[in-house]
Amino acid sequence: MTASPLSPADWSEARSWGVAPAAHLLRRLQTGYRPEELRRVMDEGPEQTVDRLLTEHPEDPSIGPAIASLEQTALATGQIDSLRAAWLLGMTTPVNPLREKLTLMWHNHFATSYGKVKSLELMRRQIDLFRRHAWGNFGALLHEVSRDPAMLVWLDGNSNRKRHPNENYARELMELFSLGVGNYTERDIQEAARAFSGWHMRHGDYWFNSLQHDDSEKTVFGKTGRFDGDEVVDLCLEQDACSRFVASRLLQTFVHPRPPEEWTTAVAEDLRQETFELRPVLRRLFLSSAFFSSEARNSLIKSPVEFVLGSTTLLGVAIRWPETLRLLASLGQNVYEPPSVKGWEGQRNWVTSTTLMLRTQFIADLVQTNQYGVASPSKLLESADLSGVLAIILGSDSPQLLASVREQMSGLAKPDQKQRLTLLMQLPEYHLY
Amino acid sequence: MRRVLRLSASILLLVGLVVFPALRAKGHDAIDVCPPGAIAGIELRGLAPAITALEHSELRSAIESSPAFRKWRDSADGRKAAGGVTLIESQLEDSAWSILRNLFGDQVAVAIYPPASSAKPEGVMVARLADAATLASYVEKLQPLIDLAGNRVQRSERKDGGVELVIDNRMTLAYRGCWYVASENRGLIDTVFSRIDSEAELKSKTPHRLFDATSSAGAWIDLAAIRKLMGTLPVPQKLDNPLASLLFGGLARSIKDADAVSATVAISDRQLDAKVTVASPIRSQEAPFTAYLAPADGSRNASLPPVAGLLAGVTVYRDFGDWYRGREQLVEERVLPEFDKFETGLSTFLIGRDFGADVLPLLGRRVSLLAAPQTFEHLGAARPGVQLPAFGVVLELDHPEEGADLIRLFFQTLVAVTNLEAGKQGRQPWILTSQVHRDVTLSYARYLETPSGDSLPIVFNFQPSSALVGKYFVLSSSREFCQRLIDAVLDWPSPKASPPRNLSLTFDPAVAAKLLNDNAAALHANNVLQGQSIQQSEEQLTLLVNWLKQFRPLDWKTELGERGFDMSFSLGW
Repeated sequence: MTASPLSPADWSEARSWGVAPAAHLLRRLQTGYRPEELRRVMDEGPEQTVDRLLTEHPEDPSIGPAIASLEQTALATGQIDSLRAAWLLGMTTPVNPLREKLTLMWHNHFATSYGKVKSLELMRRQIDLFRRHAWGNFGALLHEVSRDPAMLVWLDGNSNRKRHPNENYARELMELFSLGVGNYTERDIQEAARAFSGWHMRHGDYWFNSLQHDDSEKTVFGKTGRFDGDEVVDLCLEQDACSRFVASRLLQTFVHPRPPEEWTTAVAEDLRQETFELRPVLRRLFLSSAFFSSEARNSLIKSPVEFVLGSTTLLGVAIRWPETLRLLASLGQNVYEPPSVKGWEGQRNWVTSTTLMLRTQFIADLVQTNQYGVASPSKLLESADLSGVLAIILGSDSPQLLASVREQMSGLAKPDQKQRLTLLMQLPEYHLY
Repeated sequence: MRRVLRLSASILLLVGLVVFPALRAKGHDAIDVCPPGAIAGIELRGLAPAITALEHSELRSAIESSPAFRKWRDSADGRKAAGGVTLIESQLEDSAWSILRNLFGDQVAVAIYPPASSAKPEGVMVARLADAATLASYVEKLQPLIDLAGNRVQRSERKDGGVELVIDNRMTLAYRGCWYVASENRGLIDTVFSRIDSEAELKSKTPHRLFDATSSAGAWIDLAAIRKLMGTLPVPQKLDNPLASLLFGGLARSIKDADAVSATVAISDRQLDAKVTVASPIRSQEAPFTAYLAPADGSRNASLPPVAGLLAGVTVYRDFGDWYRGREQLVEERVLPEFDKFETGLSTFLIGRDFGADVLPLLGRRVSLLAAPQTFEHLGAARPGVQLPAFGVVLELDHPEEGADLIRLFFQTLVAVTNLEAGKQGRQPWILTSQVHRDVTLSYARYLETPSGDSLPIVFNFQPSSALVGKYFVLSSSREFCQRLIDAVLDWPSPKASPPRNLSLTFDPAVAAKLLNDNAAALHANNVLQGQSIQQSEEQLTLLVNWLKQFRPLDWKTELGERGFDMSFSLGW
C-alpha cells in the first residue's frame, strides 16, 4: 500500500532534520528570511515552525507605524507606489511572513487590478480581505470576494442588471476562482450571472439593488431554484472540481509547479474533509512527505517579489522603494496590477532573456552599491565556512554544489565578501527554491 | 601631528595676541580706524550678549543633537575640528565660547579696497577687544604653540610699540594693546595704527554706512565704485522664473543702477532685525520697471490683511498689466512660452475671453496670497490623509463688478470641470451654494455628503469659496478661511504707512511646525520610501519641529525710502 503524499515526512535518523530541509521549509513559507532565522528553524523543528508560521502574531511595533504612514499617504495622495511599498514592507518583516505570502497568493488567484478599479481604498480593502482569510475558510473567502467592492468594479458588477445580465463575474467565478475550465457550461454561467444581478457597489460598499436583481428561477449545475449569488457560490463549492482547483493552487504555490495527480487528489480530499478550512490542510501539507520530497525541492522558480525581497531581506537592506518597485515592474510583477484576470502565470514565464539579465544586474547592484538601499549583511554571511553560507543562501548542503562553487571561486583572485556574495546569488540555483 | 600644530598655530596667530600695556585707551571704533577709500566694509559690534545667548539657547542644543551634526562630529573633519577646539581650550584655559566672546564680542571691522598693485582687491581686518589684559593672557599662553610654528612665523617689533607677525611671508598680523589688525598689505596696517593713535575724533567717511546705535552688524558695498572698476555690474536684468520676476524683478533692476547696497543687523536677546538699503534713483525708472513701484504718497500700499494665525502671507503691489505686457523685458526669452501655455490653459476656464485684453484691465494693483491652518469644519469628524493649510487670495479689482463676474465664471467652470473628473474617479461632486457673512455673499462649494474616515484623499482639503468685498475679490480653498478673509478685508485699515511699501511677507515657523506634526504620516512615508526606518524619520521630524518652534514669525517688507529701495527683515526666537 502506497503512503499518502500528505503523510508526515519522516525525520528518523535516516533522513534527519537538518539545514537543507529547514532551509526548504523557510524558503517556501516566507518571501524572504534573515540568516539567523535558519538557525531558529533548525532548532525549533518542522512542527513548531509550521505552527508558529500558521499563527497570527501582533504586528512589529517598529514596522507597523511605517506601514500605516505609507498607507495613509497613499490614500491621501493617490500614489499607488506608497501602497505597494506598505504591503511589500510587511512581507519583509519576520512577524507574519506566511500570512503575507498567502495574501499574495490570493491576490494572484482573485487577480484584480488597480488599473481598472482606480481606487486605492478599494484595493487596500481587498488585500485586507485576503489577509483576513489567508489561512481561513476558502468558502467564506469566496463569498466575501463576491461582494468585494474592488471585485465589483473589476468585473462590472454595477452593469449586471435584471434585464441585461453581465456575465463577467459569473464566468470568472467558475473559470478562475473555483472550478477551472471544463467543469461548467455556458448555460451555467448565464444562469449564475442572473443570480448575481443587482449585486452592486454604492458609496464604496457592496449594495444589494433589489430592483435590479433577477429573482426568478435559475438552473445551475443541474439544480433549479430561485438562486441568489450566495447560493451559486455554495453550488460551486459543492462541486468536486472546486476542491481539486483549490488544491492545485496550493500545491503550485508551495510544493511543485506541476504536482502529480495523486498529490492533488490527496489535498482536494483533505480540503473537502475540512470543509475548506485551510489552516489544517496547509499544516498537513507543509509537514508532508510530498512537501519535503526530492521532486519538490528546488522545483519552483522564484517570482520577482520572492527574488527581490528575498535578496534584500537576506542582506538586511533598508530598501529604497522607488527603485525597487521600478525593478519589480520591469521583472513582471507589479503588485496591485496583475496583467489580466488570470493573474501572473509565473514559473517559467518569470524568466526571459531580459528578466534574467535584470535579475543578474540587480544582484550586482544590491551587493556592491546602495542603489536599492544600504545593506547590513549578517556576520553569518561573512563566515569563512563556505558550506554554511551556501546553506543560508541556496538552502543546500549538497557536496556537489559546494565543489562546483569552490571551482568557480578558484577563478577569482582572492574574492572579497562582496564578490563572494555576488557570485553565490548570481548562480542559477539561486533563482530556484 | 605637525599639521595639527601648524593649523593650531595659524589659528592662534589669527586670533590675536600679545601683552603690551595699552598705549592709549580704546577710544576709537574699529570701523573708524580703517583707512579711507574702501569700496566695501563689514563691522560687528557688541556681539558678546548674542554669543552668550546662542551658547545657552535651545537652538544650539537642537543643532548639536541633530543626526546631521552628530554625523559630521563623528567624521574625520569633525574629529579634527573637535581636536583643534580642545587644544585651544586647554592651552588658553578657557572655553571656546568664552574665547569667541572675548575675541569677537566687542568690535570687528573688515574693509576692502580697490586693487592697487595686485589684481585682486585688498583688505584689512581690525578687531578691538573689550579687555587688553585678556588678549595679553591669551598671547602668553599661546607662545609655546607659536614657537612650534618655527620660521613660518617671523616676529618683529613695530616702531609704534606693537608687535608684528608675518605668516608664510604673506599675511601680517599686528597687535598692540586691545587692538589686533591683519592684512596682506602692511601699508594698510600702518595706516590703521596711525589712526588709532590719532587724537582727533575719527568718523567713517563713507556715506553708505548706515550703522547706528542699535546695530550689531553692518555691511556696505560701494556699487558705483565697483561699476567704475568693472565697467558694469553682473546683475541679471531678466529673471528666469515668472514668479521670481513678479516678486523680486524690481529689486534686481534697482541694484543694476544703484550707487550702493548697505545692510545693518540688530540682534537683541530674542530678536534679529535686518535692513538692506539699495541706494538707487528708483523713481526715475522707465516702464515696465515702474510696474514694481507703489505710489510715492503711500496712499496704496502692500500691507497684509489683518488675519491672525497665518502660516504665511505675502502682499505685493504691482501694476500687473504693465508687468505682463512688459514681460519680454523682464523675464528670459526661454520662459516666455510658459506665458502662452498659461493663457491657453486659462482659456479653458474663461471661455471666449483673452487674458491680456479682457482680464488684466479689470485687475487692481494689490494682491495678497495667504495660508493658514484650517479646522476642516466642512468634513465634520473626518480628516484628509495629508492636511494642507487653507489658501486664500485677496485681489484688488479696478472694476469690481465686471472683474467679479469674470472670476465667478472661472470659479463655476472650475467646479464643473472638477465635478466631471470626480465622477470618473468615483469621488464626491461639489454643490455650489452660498451664505451671507457680515452682509457679504460668500459663494462656496460643499460636498454632496459629509465624508468619513481619517485618510481622505487630498482633494478633501479643498472647499472652494469666494466673495466680493468692496473692491476686493476674495478666493479661498476653505469656507472658514474665506470668512476670516472677509473679516480681514472689512477691517483692513486704510494704508497710512509712509514710505510706500511694495511687498510684505510673513511666515510663522511655529505654525509650520504644527502643520509638520499634523502631517507626520506623510513625512514618515516619504522617508520610509527612501529607506529610512520609522524611528530615524521620527527623530528627524522631532528635531525639525523643535527647531522651528524656537522662532517667532519672520517678517519681510520692501519699501521705497529716501535713499532708494529698503528691505527689512525681522525674526524673533
